Amino acid sequence: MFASSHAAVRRGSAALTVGCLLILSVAALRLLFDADEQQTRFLGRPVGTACWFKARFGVPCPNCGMTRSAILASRGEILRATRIAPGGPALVICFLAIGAAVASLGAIQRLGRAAQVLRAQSAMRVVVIACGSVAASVWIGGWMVEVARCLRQR
Amino acid sequence: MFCSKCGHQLDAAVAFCTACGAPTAGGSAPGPAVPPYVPPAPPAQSYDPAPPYAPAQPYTPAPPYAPALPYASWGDRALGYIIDSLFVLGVMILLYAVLGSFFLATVGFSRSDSFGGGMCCLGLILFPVSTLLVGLYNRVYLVSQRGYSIGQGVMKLKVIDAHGRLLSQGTALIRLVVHAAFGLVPLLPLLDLLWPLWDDPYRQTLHDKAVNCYVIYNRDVR
Repeated sequence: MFASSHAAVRRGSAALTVGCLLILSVAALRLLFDADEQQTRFLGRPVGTACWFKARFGVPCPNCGMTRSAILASRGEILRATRIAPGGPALVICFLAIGAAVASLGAIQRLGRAAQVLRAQSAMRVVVIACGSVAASVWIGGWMVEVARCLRQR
Repeated sequence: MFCSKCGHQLDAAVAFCTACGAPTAGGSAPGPAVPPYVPPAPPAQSYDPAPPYAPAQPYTPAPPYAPALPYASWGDRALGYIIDSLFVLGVMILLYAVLGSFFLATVGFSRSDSFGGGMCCLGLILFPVSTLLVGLYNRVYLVSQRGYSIGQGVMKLKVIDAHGRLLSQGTALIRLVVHAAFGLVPLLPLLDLLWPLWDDPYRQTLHDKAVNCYVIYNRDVR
């Protein structure tokens, strides 16, 4: 009994820590990086590399603009970020949602009763599957729209 | 005896009249002289064939590995994963240098319009490719041979299937491919890694669930 409750508390601590770290990582992205439509900067210095896919085929790869878009989204510039790559804001929002959900799960695992923990775990699966599906759909959908736009401009 | 048709005197054993050919009442001629076949009487106690097999308890398929086993905690699994990821990171850096040099040699910096903000498509392919390259040894060969990768060995963990056996190389390969495929989509590798946090009691990742395997503490080395 003691071992199992001790394990539950440890698991709750892990979830609480991970959830907080996920939220803090978005804050770190906002603090350490800056971006505009052309360039990403880390602590004020330009970083980044050329996209082989875009150079070779003339259309962006699925990840083109995701860094800039995610950084702008972490700074609250959602519309500007969406224009660069719709997947960036979706990724940041889902990241924050999952972080909050995991931290809540950890708190329930530490403080809640067994039935509450089971309900929270079931809810967690729904939240995570929903976030993953939304982020993946927006990411790939945004890329396809961008490819179509580039092909029309040719 | 005499023939009933022509009255000719006949031997008692003949079946037909030797004068007119009519059948006689005696001999081997068909008729009531031959008693009908009577099947043997059943024994006093009727034969009881073997009853259908009825074991004392109904058959149940082999259960998943006993839930009482020490399934690895998320923290220990994550630490093992981080150690394994260091090797993946090394190969990623190597590939990035090689592919980056190749890219610069073939495209060059003149195509300024192709510049993006980050790792871009290299990031898209480097993680899955590096995971596969390192994983073929670390997570297929080692896991199928001794039950744990380098990182899992450090954390005293072991990968087993639903029957408590080590994974076959094919199963370990499928597990690796599923794990690498998650790397192609943003956010999925994170969700895969976090899944054991809310997966009681087995604490499986999604790539564990794909092949129905479990990660437990390795009592042999504890």
